[in-house]
Amino acid sequence: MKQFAILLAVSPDQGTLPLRAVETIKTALSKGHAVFCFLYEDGVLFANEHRDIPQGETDPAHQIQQLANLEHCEIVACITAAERRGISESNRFTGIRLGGLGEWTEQLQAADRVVQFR
Amino acid sequence: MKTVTLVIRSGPTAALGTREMVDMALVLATFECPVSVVLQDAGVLWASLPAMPDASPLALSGKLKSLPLYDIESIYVDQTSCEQRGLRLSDQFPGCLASRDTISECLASADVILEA
Repeated sequence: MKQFAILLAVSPDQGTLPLRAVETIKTALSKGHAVFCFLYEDGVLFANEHRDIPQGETDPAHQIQQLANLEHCEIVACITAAERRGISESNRFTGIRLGGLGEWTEQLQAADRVVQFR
Repeated sequence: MKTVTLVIRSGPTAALGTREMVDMALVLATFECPVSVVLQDAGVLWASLPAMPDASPLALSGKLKSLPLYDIESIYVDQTSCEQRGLRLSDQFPGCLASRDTISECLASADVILEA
């Protein structure tokens, strides 16, 4: 099993890039690898539990939140970037916790592969 | 310990993200991770600014000047990007002008490349 450290630094609404990130995480997990995904910059908006998008549209945030419940997949949102964008303990998705850059640093160092989506 | 190179390609008019990626570089360096910084494309504009007050959206220029305090000594400013924009480095900026070849070598030697 390889360890992936994924830095997700795009908003859920930023074109197709969020969907590519979702597919990358899904594929890594399906191949038996472990994923640590750190939400940074506008990527912390993936942790917003109260997103409400029009019916029929695909919401990458919802897909990421579903992945957070899977085994070997851990998703953490930067607490500083989250608070700046109005995401807090009260409105974060429960499967995604808030953490600091120090934790990302440790994961980056431990990972076999680091991928940034920005 | 993995080495990290942060490539700043966004200028002062871009979103907040550049400042946050520089914050990440400083935290990485604090954890003794070897970090290099490359300024390229519109990112070279940061190297031409004077230090700005903390409250200014351009205060990042001051933070970039403090990179050596965090043991980030390898700071390269893409010479071609500067020439294209007619820019000169601020006297206080700690980095140096670098050719594309030098930057390529820096990127090739890094374990992780992050973009801002």
